[in-house]
Amino acid sequence: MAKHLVKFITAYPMGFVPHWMPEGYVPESRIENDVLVFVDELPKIGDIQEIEGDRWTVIDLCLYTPTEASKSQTESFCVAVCTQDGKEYSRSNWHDSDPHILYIPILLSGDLPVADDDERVTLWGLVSDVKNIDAAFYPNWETQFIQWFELSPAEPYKSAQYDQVALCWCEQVELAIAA
Amino acid sequence: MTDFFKRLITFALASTIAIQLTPYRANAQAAVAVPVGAAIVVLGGIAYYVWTNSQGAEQRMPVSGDYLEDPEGAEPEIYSDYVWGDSESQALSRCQEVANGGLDVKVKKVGNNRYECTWRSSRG
Repeated sequence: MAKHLVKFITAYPMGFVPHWMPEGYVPESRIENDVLVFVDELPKIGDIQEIEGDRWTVIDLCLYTPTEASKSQTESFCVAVCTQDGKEYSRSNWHDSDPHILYIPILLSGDLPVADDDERVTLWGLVSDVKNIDAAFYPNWETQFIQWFELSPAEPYKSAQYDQVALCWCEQVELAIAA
Repeated sequence: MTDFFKRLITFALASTIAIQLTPYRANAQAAVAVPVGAAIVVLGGIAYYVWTNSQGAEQRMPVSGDYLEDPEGAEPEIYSDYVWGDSESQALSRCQEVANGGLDVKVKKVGNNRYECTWRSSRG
């Protein structure tokens, strides 16, 4: 398994509506999509990434480091914001002051949860309280332990950062079938 | 559904009382039609419709509709809905709007710019 988990956020130009959005959808800001990818080397600002057939330039990075060295299956978690033209833009920040905890269920094999209708779409959850983390994206995924990441203090990241990131390492279990 | 609710629904059907539940997200309040001739009495500070059924037994039902509240209050109702969002920050904001004051609002990405919102009722 690669060392780092990166959440690439791909920001489309203002006014552009990707084909998967419902007909008539009117965006109020730039539409941002994201994808989770394991990589061996962290991206750098200015790097060109090919994501789903398009070329994207990394314009901002945010690094989260693990709080428990004993359970460092993954060395770091990183958010990489990308645009197609490589230009920075003003991202929308959170609209509330609650804590923002990103959690990502992941199998011990490294497999991430994906959307039912498109396995290229990786999934995650967002909560404001640790007790609300529900890693069971699938009924037969059972959390074994959680690897916590916190914002690396040196990062000058500008917007919508997470207070904590939780990688919920899961095992697939056989479900009992009711008689 | 708790036993209390099952018993309540059985009772309501047997008494030929029409119960119209409001949509899923409307906090389970109910609009109730009571038999013609029912009287309103106040017992212990609570107003009840009171009528006599075909077997001659007296029937009572709280006027306010609060009878649908779970008297044990231990099991909060869990709700969910789906939203589209320009971004995850907007999705969270939209989920909070949909939850309308509900607690423990959670957002799950379920597709490209598609999110599941889950929350629990403010009681319980």
